[in-house]
Amino acid sequence: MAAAAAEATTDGGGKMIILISADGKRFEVTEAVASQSQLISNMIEDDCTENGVRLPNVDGDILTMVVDYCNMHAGDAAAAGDTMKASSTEEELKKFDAELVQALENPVLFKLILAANFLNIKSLLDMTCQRVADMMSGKTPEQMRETFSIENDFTPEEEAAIRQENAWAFDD
Amino acid sequence: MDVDDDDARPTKRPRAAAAPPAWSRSWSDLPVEIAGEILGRVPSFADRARFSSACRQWRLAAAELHGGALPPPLPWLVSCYKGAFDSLPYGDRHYLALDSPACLACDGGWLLFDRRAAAAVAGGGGGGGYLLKKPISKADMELPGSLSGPPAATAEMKICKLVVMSRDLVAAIVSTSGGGGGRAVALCRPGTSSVVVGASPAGRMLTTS
Repeated sequence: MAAAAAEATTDGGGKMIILISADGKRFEVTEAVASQSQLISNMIEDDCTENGVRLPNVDGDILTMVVDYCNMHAGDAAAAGDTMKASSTEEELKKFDAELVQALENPVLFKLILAANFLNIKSLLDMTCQRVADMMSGKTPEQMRETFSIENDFTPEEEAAIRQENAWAFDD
Repeated sequence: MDVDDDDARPTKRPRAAAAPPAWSRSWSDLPVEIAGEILGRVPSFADRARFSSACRQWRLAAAELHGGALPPPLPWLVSCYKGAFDSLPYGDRHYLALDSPACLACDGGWLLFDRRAAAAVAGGGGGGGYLLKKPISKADMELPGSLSGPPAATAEMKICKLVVMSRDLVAAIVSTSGGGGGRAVALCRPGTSSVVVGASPAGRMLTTS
């Protein structure tokens, strides 16, 4: 345990960690980048990442996005206490985030949310869930189904009862 | 795997994080915890209601989250038109069937009506007392109109603030016209026949509540 403690204190982000996606793609990232995932951060603390971190419910395409996001935000976390942080970096990050969520197709957005939740990357989860919440605003249930490719699995009777119950919500 | 320590590491197997195989799912399999993350960012009550009408899983998730797991949606404003409500934050107007004129007070979705006024609108004689209604779930409770308590407080009372503590207890701050007027806390158990009013000087009552 002494060795692990010593490792933890040499916090330069220099040590590399291998992330392995469900479909076997490998990503080599620094500890600083990977630590934005609370899940992986805990694993690093427990010193159990040296054989690679297998992520059986994140596929390679999604993990690529997650790693891009974490790479982009790694400096962010490191500079969190630094009030002199350059504002251009902050703007770049905002632009990167906005482009990331705007560009996502819905099935991908969903998978990215699941990955952010599983990996416990709060800022990514916040951003993606906010995007979904914004997309839902003002939509009828039918429009929500279209937007998110959901099948209406209510029976006609159930649907009629639901409409009746919340008639006020459908009166537009 | 969770407890392996430095000197006991027999396997070279990469560490697998245990979780359900979620990566192939679609929106109709929305897990409850993610639904909570999303709905927590949906401030409009109407959007939340429509969310729960999209499909079974979303309905189940919303039902499971109902009652504490989410921040409350933004309130509705009672409009000056009968039965019309303006929702926040987008200002869309919703109509609920109300057989009573303007409400006297509200709390947590409950609206308080004067039964005499309601009966007058309906064209009947009607009794005294008050009616608490939840227009959305269509629940209602009857509150008595007769008061018991210190004589000074039992004159005409006007409700200033209503708090529905539970289905069994409703509290209100009332201003009373008797005894020089003042404010007091009235407590009432719906379904019983009287309201208990505690007499107290206005200032003290408000600071201790």
